[in-house]
Amino acid sequence: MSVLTTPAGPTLRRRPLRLLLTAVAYLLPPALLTWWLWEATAGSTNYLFPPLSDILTSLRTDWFSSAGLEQIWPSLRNLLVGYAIASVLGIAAGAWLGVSIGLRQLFLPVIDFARSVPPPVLLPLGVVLLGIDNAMKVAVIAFGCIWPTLYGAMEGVRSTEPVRRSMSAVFRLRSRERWRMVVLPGAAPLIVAGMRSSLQIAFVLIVISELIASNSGIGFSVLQASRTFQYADMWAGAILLGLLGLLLNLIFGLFASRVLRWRDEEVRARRMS
Amino acid sequence: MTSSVPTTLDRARPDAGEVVLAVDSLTKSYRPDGAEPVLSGIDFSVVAGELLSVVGPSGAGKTTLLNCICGLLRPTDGAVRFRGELVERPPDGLAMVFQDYSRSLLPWLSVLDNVTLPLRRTVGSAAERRELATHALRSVGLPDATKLKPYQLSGGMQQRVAIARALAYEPALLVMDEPFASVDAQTREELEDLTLRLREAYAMTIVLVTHDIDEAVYLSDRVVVLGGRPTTVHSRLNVDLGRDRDQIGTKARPEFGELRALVHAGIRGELSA
Amino acid sequence: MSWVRGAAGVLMVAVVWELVARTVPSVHSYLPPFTTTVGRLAELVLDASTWTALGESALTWVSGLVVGTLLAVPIGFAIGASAWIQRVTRVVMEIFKPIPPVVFIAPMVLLLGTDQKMKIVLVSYAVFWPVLMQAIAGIEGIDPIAQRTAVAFRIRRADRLRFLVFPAAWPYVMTGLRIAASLALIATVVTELVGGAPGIGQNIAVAQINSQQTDVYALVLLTGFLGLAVNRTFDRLERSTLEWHSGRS
Repeated sequence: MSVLTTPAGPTLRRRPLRLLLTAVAYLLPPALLTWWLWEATAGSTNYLFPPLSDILTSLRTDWFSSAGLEQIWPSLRNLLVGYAIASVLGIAAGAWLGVSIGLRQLFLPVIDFARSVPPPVLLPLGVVLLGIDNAMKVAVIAFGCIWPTLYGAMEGVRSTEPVRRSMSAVFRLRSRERWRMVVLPGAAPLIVAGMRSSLQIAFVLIVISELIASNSGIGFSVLQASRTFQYADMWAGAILLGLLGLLLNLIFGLFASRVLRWRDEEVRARRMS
Repeated sequence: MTSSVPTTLDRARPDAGEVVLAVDSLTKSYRPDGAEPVLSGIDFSVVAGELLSVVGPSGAGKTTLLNCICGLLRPTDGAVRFRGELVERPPDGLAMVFQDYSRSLLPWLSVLDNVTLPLRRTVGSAAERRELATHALRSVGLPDATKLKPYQLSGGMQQRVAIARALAYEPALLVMDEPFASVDAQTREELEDLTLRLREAYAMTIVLVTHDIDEAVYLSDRVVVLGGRPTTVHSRLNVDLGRDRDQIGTKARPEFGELRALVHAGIRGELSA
Repeated sequence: MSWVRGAAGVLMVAVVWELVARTVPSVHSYLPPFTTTVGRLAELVLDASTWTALGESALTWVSGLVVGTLLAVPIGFAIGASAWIQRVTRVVMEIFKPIPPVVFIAPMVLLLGTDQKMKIVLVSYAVFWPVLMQAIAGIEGIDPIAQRTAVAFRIRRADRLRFLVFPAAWPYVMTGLRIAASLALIATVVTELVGGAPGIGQNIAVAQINSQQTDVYALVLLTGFLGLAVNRTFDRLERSTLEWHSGRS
């Protein structure tokens, strides 16, 4: 009888020195880049590229302040609410479409069309339909970013292994177990991949949703700064968006690796055998 | 050993002599008009406590036959009866072991959860499910694997888990679809002997579908040989090798060789016709 | 018979739209009936100026896609080739990647004016990141066994690139292109909507400002068709390159 293979062996044995080196490798380049930009732009009179020190000052005063947080919060809230709605609806609708060829044939042309409408053109439509409040922005974000999740869930459910279908049917699993323990976990890799794309689109849409008919939020402030030639403020806003995106991606990465831990371990186990 | 088996479903145990499965002039065509059948007039039955093999060359429609037996497909003509009742959908009390163990087991569930999954419907208490599963895992020689994930086990051990899942379900009929076709030769012999042991211990009724002639003769009380186009029952053989069998002694007996030759001739004769 | 059902689905949506627009009283002012919208769409399609605008948008979209890809693929391959370069560039990339191009519209308009050049620069920027990330992943994902085989057989570097690296990374790049294609269309429309550059997005903005509701809806439908054509093309391209690839795993 063969020996049990336990994955995750070598990664646990990482030495502290190696860890330190990796951290340096990740963090040194951005530090160097910052330093170089700081030096290169010091005393800059180029209106488009003001000194980095000015940019960082406005980053601190514009954003990392109570007034700044009051600007960030509504945008972030719209993003999270819109994304949550899109995720729930996308997974539900995608799973529903994934189980039946008939439903797909009926609705896919409409859905294909709907996902092809570039979300920015929905802004004028949203203003016409819902007015200029947060509901409109949340709706634009949700509508714009739902598609990758929906397609991921649909594809994931549709491509359930035939053996797993037979297994569920022969053992007569109840639909609760069938969904929760067989179909949805099996579809999880594609659902998560879809949700990752959805998050990226949602992030772009927080700025886009504040393009017109808006008077607060990150996107509004950044656009306002760039329209009024306040380029230090604009760059500060861009850096803020970059940092915020990085943070959201990190959080999503943690979530994804948690949900898909079994898959990563399985892949590693296969590779080792 | 039989006395120590915890039983929750008295109805699951068929009486001696009961016809558990009756396949009655089954014909299956995938065309709506019933032309060009894959299977034509298949007839056989399985009595409680019997191990019957269905042997046929690849492409003979063995999987189609299995799907009809399990209620996953409806026959075009004829009928399948499970414990006297017409099979129209997967019946209660039928378990299956699939060839593709790596897919039929769920990698996101532990070995224990895989085994208890079908019991969630049939057994009310979680403790009882656990006990049944632990017992079944002990019976297949994997007492310590409960917390592991399937992919941490070798192929042969994974198939043992699949067998344990079927065992814990306490089926009136166990259907095995090429269960040992994906493991190496030595593991295959181990699993064959395990099947024989379990069958004695639990007084199981088993239908084994295989393309392997040696395996069919070695394990079975009776062999049904399929062949021809469309596939029909070419011959039925009684295997009078007694209940006490072992890999070396039994296979060396002259009767084994004769039976083997008969099955072989059956399959080949039909192929050249 | 799938198209019959598909047509039935479209018809269902059209009927619901029509009924809501015609029967719900308060909705009427901002939701023109389906038939009215389609009628207006037909008029717009027959209008040469619509085609000029569509052409402007399509030109921006294609050029941005080409420029962004040509920049991203070689850089991505270079970064993907070394684990160390990847680590060194990671944080900087992760910070730049999420910054939406919209932010830079105003300075770009100032620098380049409201014409094709400005649009193409912004669209290339939008295209660059997804293609870059996929190109890196493509090089990273090359089968280690194939790589070891190539080394063991002493296959020359140039041949290794041609027969191992490019074919293996290509499907990833195609996936990046598919994502980039729809992002590029978004960026195109945004630059027109906000930047005031000519194109279909500008037409929508003008219609909205003039409160021509029916025109807004008709033009949104039209961009939907444009997007559908884009998505279909890239889905098909991606699938044709993925055929051998999916059979492998």
